[in-house]
Amino acid sequence: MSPLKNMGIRAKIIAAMVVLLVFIGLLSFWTTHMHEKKSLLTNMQDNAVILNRALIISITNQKSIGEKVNLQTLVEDLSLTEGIFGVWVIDNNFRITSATFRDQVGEVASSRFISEALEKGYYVCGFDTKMGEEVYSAVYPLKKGGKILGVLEVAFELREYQHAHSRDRIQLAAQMKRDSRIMAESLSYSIENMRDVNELIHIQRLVDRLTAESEIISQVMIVDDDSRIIACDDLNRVGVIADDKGVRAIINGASIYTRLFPSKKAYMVDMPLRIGDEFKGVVSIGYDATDYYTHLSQIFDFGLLITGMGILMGILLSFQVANPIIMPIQRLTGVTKRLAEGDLSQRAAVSSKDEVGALASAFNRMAEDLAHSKDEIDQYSKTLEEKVRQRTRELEISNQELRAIQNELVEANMAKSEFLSIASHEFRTPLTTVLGYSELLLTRALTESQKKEFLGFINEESIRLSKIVDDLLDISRIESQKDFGFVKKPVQLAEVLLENIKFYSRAEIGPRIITDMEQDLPLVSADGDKIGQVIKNLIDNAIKYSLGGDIVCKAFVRDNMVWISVQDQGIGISQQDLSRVFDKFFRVKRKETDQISGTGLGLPIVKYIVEFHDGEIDIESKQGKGTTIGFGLPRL
Amino acid sequence: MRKILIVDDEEKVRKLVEVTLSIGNFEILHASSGDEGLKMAQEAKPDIILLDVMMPGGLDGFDVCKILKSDPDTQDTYIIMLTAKGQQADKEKGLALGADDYFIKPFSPMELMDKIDKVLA
Repeated sequence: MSPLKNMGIRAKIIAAMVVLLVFIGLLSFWTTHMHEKKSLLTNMQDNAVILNRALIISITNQKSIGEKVNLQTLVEDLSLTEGIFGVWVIDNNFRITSATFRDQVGEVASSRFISEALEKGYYVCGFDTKMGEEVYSAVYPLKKGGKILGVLEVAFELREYQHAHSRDRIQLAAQMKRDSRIMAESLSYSIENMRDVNELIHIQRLVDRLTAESEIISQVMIVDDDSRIIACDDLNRVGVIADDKGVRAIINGASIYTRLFPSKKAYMVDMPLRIGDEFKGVVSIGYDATDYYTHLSQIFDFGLLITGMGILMGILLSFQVANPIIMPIQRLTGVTKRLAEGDLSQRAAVSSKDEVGALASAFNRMAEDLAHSKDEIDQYSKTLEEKVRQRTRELEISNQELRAIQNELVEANMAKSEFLSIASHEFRTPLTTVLGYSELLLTRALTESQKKEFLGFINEESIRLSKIVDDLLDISRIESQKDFGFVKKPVQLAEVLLENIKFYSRAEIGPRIITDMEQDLPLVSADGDKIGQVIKNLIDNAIKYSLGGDIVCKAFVRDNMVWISVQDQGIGISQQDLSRVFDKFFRVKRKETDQISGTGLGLPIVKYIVEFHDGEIDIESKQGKGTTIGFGLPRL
Repeated sequence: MRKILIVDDEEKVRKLVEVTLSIGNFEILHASSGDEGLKMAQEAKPDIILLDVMMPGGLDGFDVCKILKSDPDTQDTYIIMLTAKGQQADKEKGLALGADDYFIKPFSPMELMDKIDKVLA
């Protein structure tokens, strides 16, 4: 993965700015550097060529010892050098003895530089005008044995100087000053030595002096046509075969060979040494290039400065450019983070109308949508929760109801089984009598009285069976809540009581039935026939278990209910049995009840009918004293 | 003379058994409750007991059967359960308690006579 991907926008912008500015800086630096380098090299080369020529001329002239010195030739040769306006040799009478311009020979030279140099023996130089041309003039005294013979004047063209940038002029001036001095010096040597013998030692001396006195010559070497060094600034090398590129190139016919020596900070110029047209050897001069390298390093330092400034400017500019973009984005990022942490009320500040502002607006819309969605979801989940809770409640209630129903069903089923078990037992007992005695009647020889007695048993038990069947059907109908024929309407219970007592009043034997009824009893809502059955059942029981004495039927109002009660003076019911008299088939078994037949279903039926009228039953009894049983129905 | 004890709360049933067995040479004893029947069984040591199950009062027929069958003095007594409890579970319960036979009401007097003849033969 590119490291760029991991950088922040700010870092990317900074990087881009820095790279751009450094690139521009380096480009301008490189252009400047190349230009400077080229001009410096050209400069050095020109100078070196001049010097070489000067030296060659000196040497050449040494070879022509004994001959008449042709100064004019020397001067004219020198004049050919590029950049030199003119050369003059003037004797101590101010008379021009040799000049670039031949027609000036013999004329009297007049220049304060020449006067100063002749009079004081100084080297003088400065700006001058020659033949209407601005020049840089250098005047060098020519001496021999301490006596001033004359002066050498070299005038340099100022074309380059004039066109040069002001900052380069000083440098150029210094160069010209130096060059002219060297040239003058070397010429003066030539002239001074003209009369000396052409021994190599003199050439060596020339080389020594050149290197010793010249600031710009660091190395001088003269090589003969066999590559042997005949003179050198380093004396140890004299006689040694010179084996360097420059020397080889010149021997092979090149007219000039130049190269830079960074290690020696020198600019080497090799040129052929000819006398007439004859190739005599190679002149090799090491030109001091310290200035050049210093200048290069200055340019390099300048380049570094430009680079540094580029980086600094880049960073500063980046902040200027990046902040307006990054700050809103950072704020937006913060808002987004808080939003993501759940604070849906977070909104971004829209401070600009640019792309970042549009982003912030879009973000705000999104945040609003999000908050809205969350509200909806909350609302929905709340509703859902409520619904689930409600459903759960309903289900729980249903479950409870189902459980209750199940329990009821289980109980009902058990009750049914128990009921069947008891009912079958209740049927079997009378059937035993019926079947057993009828078999005896059919198979045994019985007396008449026995037969009559047994038939009586059979009849009695058959009636009991029939009654059980009727009662069971009644109970079954009530229990299944089927059409029992309940027709509820406002009823006067006192009338119902009187109606049903009529039947018993006709009996000639048995207890007397007395009524005791309150006047103007309220009406009740009831099925008259069913309530009549209740009253009959109660009176039946009272008669069955009576020990004689009256049966008292009462009708009265108590606790907003109309009550009917039947009171007997019979055998009574024990406390233990009292709680069971409403159970189906329960019959009190005592010696006194042996002869009393019953189904054990009378009171259960009473209970059912009263309960279906929302009524109450009340029973009181004392064994041996009698029982009072009554029921009350709500008054209308 | 062989002794037969009839324990039943229904007088008509006791009378039926007595008349049924009257053609044989038996001494017939009556008891109308469990307590009475147990007492008579322990005192009179009958050869056969005809024992009803559902009777009012403290002990029912099963209780009486259990007591008699776990007492060495009375455990040889032949007990015929004579009951209206006709379900298989009731019959099994009675036999498990040591009853020798089980008659379900209503019963045939002739069959009962045959059974007793066989037991006493």
